This record gives sequence, structure tokens and C-alpha cells, in this order.
Amino acid sequence: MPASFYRKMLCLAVLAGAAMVASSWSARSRVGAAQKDSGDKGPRPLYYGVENCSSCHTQPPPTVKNDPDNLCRCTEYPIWLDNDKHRQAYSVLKGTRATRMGELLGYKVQEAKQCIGCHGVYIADPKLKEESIKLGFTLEEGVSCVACHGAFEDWVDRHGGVRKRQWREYTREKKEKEFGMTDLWDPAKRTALCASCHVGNAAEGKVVTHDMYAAGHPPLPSFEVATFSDEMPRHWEYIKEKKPAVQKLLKFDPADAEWERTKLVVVSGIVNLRETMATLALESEQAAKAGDANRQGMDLAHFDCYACHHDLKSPSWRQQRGFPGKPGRPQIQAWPTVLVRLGLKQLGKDKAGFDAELKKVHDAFDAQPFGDPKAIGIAARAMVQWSNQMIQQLENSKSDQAAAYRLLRELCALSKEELLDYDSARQVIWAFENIYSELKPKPVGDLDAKIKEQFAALDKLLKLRLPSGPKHKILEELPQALERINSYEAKNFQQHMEELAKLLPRE
Amino acid sequence: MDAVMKRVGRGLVLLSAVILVLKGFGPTERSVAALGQQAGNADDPWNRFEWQGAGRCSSTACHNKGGAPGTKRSEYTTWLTSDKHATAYQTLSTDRSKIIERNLNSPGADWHSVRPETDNLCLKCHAAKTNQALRAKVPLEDGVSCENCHGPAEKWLADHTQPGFHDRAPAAKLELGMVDLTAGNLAGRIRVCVDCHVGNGPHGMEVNHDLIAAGHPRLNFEFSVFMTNYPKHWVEEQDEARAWSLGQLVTAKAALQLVEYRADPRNQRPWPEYAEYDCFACHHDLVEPSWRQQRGYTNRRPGELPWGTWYFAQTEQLAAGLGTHLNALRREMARPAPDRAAVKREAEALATQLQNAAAGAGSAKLAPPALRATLTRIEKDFQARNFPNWDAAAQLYLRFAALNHALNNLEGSEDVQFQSALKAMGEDLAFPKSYDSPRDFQPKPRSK
Repeated sequence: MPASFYRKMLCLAVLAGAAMVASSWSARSRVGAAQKDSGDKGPRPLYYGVENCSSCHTQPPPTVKNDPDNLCRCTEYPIWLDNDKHRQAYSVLKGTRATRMGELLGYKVQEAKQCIGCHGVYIADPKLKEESIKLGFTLEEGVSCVACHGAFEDWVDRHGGVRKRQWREYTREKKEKEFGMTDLWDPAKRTALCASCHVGNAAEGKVVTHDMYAAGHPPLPSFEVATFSDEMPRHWEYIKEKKPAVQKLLKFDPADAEWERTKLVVVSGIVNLRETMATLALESEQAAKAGDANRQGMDLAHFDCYACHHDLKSPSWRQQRGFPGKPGRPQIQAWPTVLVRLGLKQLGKDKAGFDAELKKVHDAFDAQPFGDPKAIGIAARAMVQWSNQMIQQLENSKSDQAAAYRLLRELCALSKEELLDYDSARQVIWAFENIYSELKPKPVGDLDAKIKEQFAALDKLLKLRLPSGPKHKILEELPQALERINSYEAKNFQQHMEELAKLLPRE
Repeated sequence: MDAVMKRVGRGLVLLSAVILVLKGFGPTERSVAALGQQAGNADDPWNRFEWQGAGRCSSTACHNKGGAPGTKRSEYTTWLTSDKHATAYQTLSTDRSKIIERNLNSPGADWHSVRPETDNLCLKCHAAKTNQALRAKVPLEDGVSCENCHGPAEKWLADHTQPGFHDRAPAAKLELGMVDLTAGNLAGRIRVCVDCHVGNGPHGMEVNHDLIAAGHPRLNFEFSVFMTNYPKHWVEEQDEARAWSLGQLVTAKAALQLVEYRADPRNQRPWPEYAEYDCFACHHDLVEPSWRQQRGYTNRRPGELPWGTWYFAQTEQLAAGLGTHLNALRREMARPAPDRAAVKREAEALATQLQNAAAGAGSAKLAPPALRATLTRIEKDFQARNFPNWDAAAQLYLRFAALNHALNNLEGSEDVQFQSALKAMGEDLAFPKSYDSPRDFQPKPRSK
């Protein structure tokens, strides 16, 4: 080869190298600019696709497998991709049921905010939507990472890149406020986020309305966040489940026995109430001041479905039991209120205050058929405030073994005091299962086995296991689920809870 | 003389005082109104005259001869031995009635201790349909007795035994308080039935959803079948076809007057009133698959409440041009907060149309070929499941029953095919054991 050829190659190589260095410099300066921006105006919104997460979160990087450098499992992406129903949330909008719903409702379900808000990610700003799609966002990914972890680009770059050790030093508040990473460690914030779809959030336009149900949307079950998370299956670990080296990094002392799961159950019990009441407040306030007759009444979805939707039996247990107020006026659903007792027990408060606040809500519903929207708004707002106070106090409270047993006994006590409906019963037993699972040591002798037997019997009665994952289809299991609801006998549940109460150790 | 005049004068003053005092305690129009009732007008003898009680009709020489049910002069005997109206008051002492009373008026109380038999709301239909003052003489144990239909006997009890009374004009008899229940005034008779069996708002006779939820059965009145099954204490030639048409129109009109009454905010009734709607649109278990979702929702958004499905299922078949106001009512009542003024307006307009239709209804008697044609059509409709809900299917069945009965009367025998069709329809509609709703009933066949 002539020398001139090698000279030309060398020049080309130098030029290419220079170009690469130059481009990386400019890229860094773009990031720098973004970071400078975030300091001034808060985090930059961006809806990113899963490809931005999957490169790191598919498996732990080989060099750091035994190094506790990473707080997370780094396998979140395949867990979500292969096992999590959230992945299919958007694709169900293309199925037969959704198509029929669209026909009956008269709008395009794959585009409507009231559908995509929960079955995907709704982006209001068209420019942001365009930019996000250009950078790889797609609705096809369903409820993906961005739906829960924060739709901002700042934290995505920061948390796993060269500044990740610096990132770890930041408080959760700083991570959220300055960089937009949703604080999902906080049990109240996590529950509120999940509840925004699984319970509803009127402020975000996420409400399954009665016409949607009538058109074919499966009824929303009651929501217990610890149970639902386990069955997702959750792609994160409780602190107790993490590697010891990671626990050390997080300054967690196993001997301290942080009752993370129990705390989640107790706090989420109040958060569910708050979220229900917040939606109720907003919707009733809008109804109270609506000019158009079509908007003046409360949407029927805010009432207890089964108050109306039951075949009439003769004799009727409702008539035998009697009604707290006027007969035949549908009330709010009961299940968001049932686990409030755990929060009250945790803080050593009695239930008189809560009962008084709840009575105002019930009276507002009783005042006239379909409730008095103005009165409902006032009572619901007061409930939101009450809930916020409780949550704040609960965040600072701690549990121990004795406290856990007190909570379990409280669940048994409340089941004895009142006949619970199907959804409330599920909340109670889900809460029981979760708190019980954290007990160490378990009850002695064969008590543990007997308790597990009761759980199995209650599973038969209440269908406690959820149609999670891609294999279990909600619509396929719906006939059986509804049949359980329709044949539910409150006294049966009461008897099982009495048996459970006997199996718990005396204080 | 002066002393006598003084005594007479004092006596007159005393007498006038006594008369004035007695008038003050007696049932005057003003005191009747003060008790919350409309002062009785000519059309409403029940609130104009004093009731006497069925005992006044029960002499063996008059209406209690003790003969076979339905025979002349044994009207009281028939009523006492065969008529459910006679036990209407006793019903109020049952456990069920006590539970209803407890649920409605005394939540939390022990139901053994409540007394529905003293509740005026119950007594209006289960005993005498007037106020306490006018029924002071009536033993409530009479239940729904003679005067509830025939009018209070205060002014005609003595008169009607006299020769020539029978030939007086109905208007003249009504002036005395005797109601014309003859076949020539069938619409008038039906209006008497519907006071209780549908409701009469101004007279406080109303079974609303509060009462039904408390435990009261739903009102499902259809005149011709009720009349066919009624153990009559009189003899008359049956014309079920006419009874059916007129029954539908008069019943529907009463239902419209009731919704007007409920819509009027001055009457302070619960609004919207749930009993106005199809019970089973709400009261059904949620099932999967859902035939309602498969069938779809005509003229309303999914999940909106369908109004008037019982009383107005067949109305549009009875006269032309009823669709405008009827559909306007359906649309308005389907809203979560129906506009009261609009409902009143449309109900009034429709009621007038029904009144006009009733005036010309069923004057010509239907002959067997016409009856057969209608019966065949209904049978086909039923087999094709050509109805949107149970209420509509049930009304179709009752029409079939009425016309079938009419045909049997005219031909003197039963048509085997129609009879078995009737039986099949009835079985299809029947509620399953221990249910008060059509749990397994599906109007449209399942779509593939």
C-alpha cells in the first residue's frame, strides 16, 4: 500500500475522533443546559418510553453484581414485561369488550381521556405529546414506567448515570421536587398514585362513570394496595427483602423490625378514604353548581353498586335488618371506610370522631334520592381534611409485634360489630393476611396452620386471589367473581372472623 | 211575659251557642282542608260525606242474604267471605307490616312495638280512604269495605232503599255521594280502583320507593285481569277487551297525575321518585355476560333510568300521536335531576291525550276474528322476545290473558293453543322461588 493511503486513513481517523469528541461535548452541554434549567424552573416534563429504562433495569450490570452499589433489583423491566397486567392495559382497549363499549357510549375508547387516563398514559399538551412520541413514547406500552415513576426527564438521567452516588444522598423530597421522581417509598403517596386509577381521581379525569359500567366496564373491586402490589407482581422489594449490604446502605437495622407492610396497610386504609372523598367532593361540587340538567345529579358510580344491583329476595335481609336512615336511598360504598379503624387503633383514638364525620356524609346521601350534592360536597371536604390529619400522624407512628396483634384483633372486632358487605369483607381479610404475614414468630403449635386454613376457606367465599398477570383474564373470571358477590352471605364471613379471633393469642 | 221572653231569649242564645260550638267541632270543609286534604268536590264524595261503616249494609234483609257468592242481595256475604279487600286491615297487624312501619318511620326501634294499624298512610288504602273525622263511625277492621268504592252512605243510605231511587240519574246519585260503578261508566269504576292501586297524590295515597324499600310489595295494577279474577258481588256481562283498553288508559292517566303530584315541589315528595322507573333496571344481580349490554340501550345513554315501563308499555298501541309527549317524558325522567316543570308540562299534555282517547275507547265490541288476530300477533311477539324488559313482557302477557278470556266467553270454549301459549308465557315471567325479581328472565335472545 502506498504511504499516501495510510496518510489519508490517519487524517480520516483523526477527523472522525475529533467529530466524536465534539459531539459528546455538545451532548454534555445539552444535558448541562437541561440541568441548569431544572434548577431554575423545576423538572422538565417528558413522557419517556420503556426503552429508556430497560437498558439498565433488565439485569444487574456484571461488574456490580456483588457490589451493593445499586439499591434496586435491576430486573424490574422483565418482571413488568412478562408478568404485569399493567403492560396489557392499553391493548385491552382494542378488544371486543372495549369495542362494544365504544359503540354503546358513542366515543373512541382508544383515544378518549377517560379511558387512556387509566389504560395508558394521557398527555394533555399536544406539543409535549409529539415530542414524547418522537423520543420513543408509545401508548402501546400500557401503564409503563413513566405512568408511576414521574414523567420528567431530569431524574431519568440523574439516578442511574455518573451522578448516581450523589443522587443517593438526596432526600426523597428533593428527588421529587427538583428532579420529578415520584416518591413511591412513602406509603401515602404510593397508595394515592395507585388509587388514582384503582379507586378514581376526579381532578385527573380518572373516574369510571356509571354509563361506562352499563356499557360493559367490569366493576372496580375494592382496593388494598399491599395485596394488589404483591399480585402485580411487584417489581420492588420491601426493605426487609433487600440484600444486607443494600440494607446497610439504606441505614436499615433488621433488629429494628420496621413494620413496612403493616404500616402500608394502615396508612393506605386512610388514603383510600381520602381519595374516595376527594373525588366525591369535586364531583358533588360540580353537580351542585351545574346549569345543565344532565350534570346536576351525582353520577351513579359514586353510590354503592350493590345497594341497587341486587335481585330482590323474599324475605329480604335488608328489610329485616332495617335501614339507618330512610329506606331505599343508595349510600356511598362502604369499603373505603372499613380499614379506617386500623389507623384509629394505631393512634389510640376512639371511633366517635370518625363516626360523627361519616354520619354527615351518610345524612347528605339520605337527604334526597341520589343525595344532596351541596351537602355531600361539604361533608366530603371535611372528610378529606380529617384524613390528611390522620395520615400525617400515622406517618410518624411505629408498629411492633404487640401493635400488630392489636390491629388483628381490631379487624376481628369490627367484623363482629357489623355485617360487612362483600367488598368490605375482602378489605378486612386482605389487611389481616398482610399484617399476619409480618409477624415473627408466628403463633405456636398448629395455630399457624389453622389460621392458614381459615384464609383458604375465606378465599373460597370471597375469591381473594386476583386475576393478575397476562395469563388470568379478568373477563374470563368475571362470571365467577360476580357469582360470589351475588351469593355472598354476611353472616358466613362473620363466623369465619370469629374463628380467626379464637386462633389469635391472648394479649 | 217579660220573664218568659227573657227565658226564651236566653234559651235561643244558648241554643245558637250550642249549634255554633257543634259546628265548630264537626267536620266542616275548612277543618277537612286543615287536616291536609282537599276539600271534597263533586267528584270526590269520599271527602264530602260521613262514612257509615259496612255494618250498615250487612242486614240479612239487605245485602247479607247468605246466598252463594255473587248472587243478588248477598253482596256483603260475598265480600266478607271471598274478597281480599275485607282483610286489608288485618294485613296491617302482620309481622311484615310491622317491619315496614319500623323501617319507614322508626329506624332502630324494636319492630314488635310499632303499630302500622294506626298509621294514616296505611289506613288510606288498607281501610277507609278518607280523613279521621269523616271515618269516625267506621270500624277500621272493616278493611276496604263498601263505601270505599260506592261512596260514603251518609246521604243515600236511607234514600236508596226507596222505590224509584234506582232510576235516578247517576249525577243526581253522585250529589248524594253514591258513585256510579256501572258498566256504562267503566272509566269511572276504574278511576275508583286506581286511587289505591296506582295512587292518588292529593289524598295522600301513595306507595313510593321509600315504602317499597321498607317492605311493601310493588303496585302492578292491570285492570282487566284484576277484574276477571275479582270475586264479584254483582253480575255483569264481561267484555275483557274493552276493560283492557279502558283499563290501560285510565291507569296510565292516574300514573301521570301521580308523577305530576310528585314533580310539584310544593308537595315535598322525594324527587326523583324511584318507583316511577323500571324496578328491574336497577334491581338485578350484575352478571356476565350481560344481556343488557348485548341488547344495547334504546334512546338513552347506557345506565340511564328507564321511566314508566309498567304503565306505559302498551300505551302507544291504544291511540295515535302519543309518542311526542311520552318520549319527552321518558327523556326528561332519564336525567339524573329531571326538570320538574318540564315533567309536569309533558305529563299534563299526555294525560289530556289519554283522556280523549278514553272517551272513544272500546265502543265497538271486538269479534272473535279480530281477537284471534291480535292474540296470534301477541303470541308471535312474545316468542320473538319482542320486548325490551320484563315489565313490557308482563303487560303483553296480561293483554293476551284479557283477550283470550274475551274469546273464551264469546266462543263458549277454550282455544287449546292459546291456552298453552298463555301458560308458557306465565311460566316464563314467573319469578324464581324466594325471589321478587325476574332473576333468569332475558328479553332478547343472546346474540352470538
